[in-house]
Amino acid sequence: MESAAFDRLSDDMGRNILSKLPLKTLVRFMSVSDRWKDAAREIVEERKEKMKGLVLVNFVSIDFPGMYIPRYAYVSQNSGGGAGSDVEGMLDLMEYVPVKHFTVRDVCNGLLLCVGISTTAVDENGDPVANFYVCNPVTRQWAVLPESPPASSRDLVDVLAFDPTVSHYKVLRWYGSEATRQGQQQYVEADVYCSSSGTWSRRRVPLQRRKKNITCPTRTTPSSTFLKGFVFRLADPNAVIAVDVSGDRIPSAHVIDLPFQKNDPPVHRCLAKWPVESLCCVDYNKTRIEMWVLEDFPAKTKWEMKRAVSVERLTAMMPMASVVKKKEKPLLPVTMMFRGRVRGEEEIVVVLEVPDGVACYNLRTSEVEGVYPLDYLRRKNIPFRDVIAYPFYPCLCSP
Amino acid sequence: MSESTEKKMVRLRSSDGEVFEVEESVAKVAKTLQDMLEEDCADAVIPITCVRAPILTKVIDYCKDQVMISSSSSTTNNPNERTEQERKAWGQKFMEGVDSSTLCELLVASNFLNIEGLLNLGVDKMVSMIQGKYPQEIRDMFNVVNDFTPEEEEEIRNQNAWAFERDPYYKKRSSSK
Repeated sequence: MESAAFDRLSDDMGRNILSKLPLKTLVRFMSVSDRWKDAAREIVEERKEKMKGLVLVNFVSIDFPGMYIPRYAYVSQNSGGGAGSDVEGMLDLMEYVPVKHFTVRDVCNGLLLCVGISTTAVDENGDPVANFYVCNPVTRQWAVLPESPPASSRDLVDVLAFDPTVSHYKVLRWYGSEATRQGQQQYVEADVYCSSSGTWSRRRVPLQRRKKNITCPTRTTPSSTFLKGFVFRLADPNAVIAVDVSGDRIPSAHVIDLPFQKNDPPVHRCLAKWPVESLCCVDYNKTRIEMWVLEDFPAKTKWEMKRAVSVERLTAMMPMASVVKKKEKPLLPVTMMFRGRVRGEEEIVVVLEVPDGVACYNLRTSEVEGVYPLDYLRRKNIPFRDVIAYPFYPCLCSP
Repeated sequence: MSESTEKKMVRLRSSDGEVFEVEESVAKVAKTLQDMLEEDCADAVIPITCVRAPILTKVIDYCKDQVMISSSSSTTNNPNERTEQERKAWGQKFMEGVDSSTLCELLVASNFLNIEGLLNLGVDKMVSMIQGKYPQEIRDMFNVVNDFTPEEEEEIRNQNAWAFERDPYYKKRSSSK
């Protein structure tokens, strides 16, 4: 009677208890005894499922001169919304990655690309070293990348290209406008890190066709995305540049025209994924939010408008409408999230920046699902300037 | 509520042979007993084969309390009805001082007797006891035998090193021998 009290519990009951434990204890439980190892592991898997529907929102605020300190929020159908540094499993990178500060630069298929300042490593002058880290917030595994070559320009975006079926990833530090023009030939220039070789190299990729005055300005919105082996990046005027990063070499850069006429810089625009494996350009033009979709790239390069929402109607639906109307920068779409299918129809949520936080608009039901005010930021009196949001699709792959 | 003044009594026998006499309404808090009583397949004494007397005492305490709450809940403005907060506080008090092996037996009992409320109380208590503990602490608490080989244990730990950092209870078994 005295022995193994816990082992007297039935499997169902054991699972019931395990499912209520925090992730860390649960993982420790995997090494308690053979009987509970698989049950604990299964629940870790379920937890991963729950992280589905999470949108990681990066609120860029200026805490220190010359340095952005991002704040994070989550918006999910399972746990509602919130913001801060205390969200279990998701936002506590600093608990297990040895960094003092970090900023999330990109999110791709369950992995985060961060820049962090190491708590231990210092350079020859004794200054702390900043490095790229690739982390999986579900398993809490992480890898630090070797030092990158000195940036040739500050005008850049960092992109993580991770294909879970191949389980190698690439990191692109893609330079902006200046680098794209060189005499008659136009180029895309990037430092590329490849996880299979473990090294960085500078690549200069010629554009497949010329386009007058083409530049890739750095935007505050997610302006790049990875799918089907290609990294896509928004370019001006009205174009998207795509590079194939699936192989060791980057053959050439495609120039895809966007279906807009004017040469003015766009009011607000971002790139996102449209199910299944299609590219979507979300365009905000003061009166409407339009979703243009490019299917079957590179076989096709024709955009099709899938959905449009009137900004006026959207504003009227906002519970905080009065607050929203007062500001001059209302309802900017920042990303999109695919949640699976409901009765055969795809459930897609557009995440919008609103003055007090973020809101989710469900395209299937045409309803505003929730406005997530950032109480944490308000409480701490942290002003935020820009919102960069990434949909998070959890996986158990290790970086 | 009660059509007869004479309260019907039920007798329960624990695994170690002790007999408890309780009101039928108290026994019926346990769904398993309720089914038996309603199907009239309960004889003079119902054997509760997997529950020891001290545990059965605790279970009966819980059932009595439930009857006390529900007996007055049919009337309006029930003074015994508890708020969510009071219910929580009561549950905590009920579970106070329950050690890990009693708790396991209590869980087995409430599962067998199908008493959802008690089961939930037990699970919550269990979770609060395990939370944040290291593997060896969990094994000690529940007398779980470590049936991994040192290599297997090492491997699990290495795969999830973040969860095992600063484990003060961990000694490599191979090196301690």
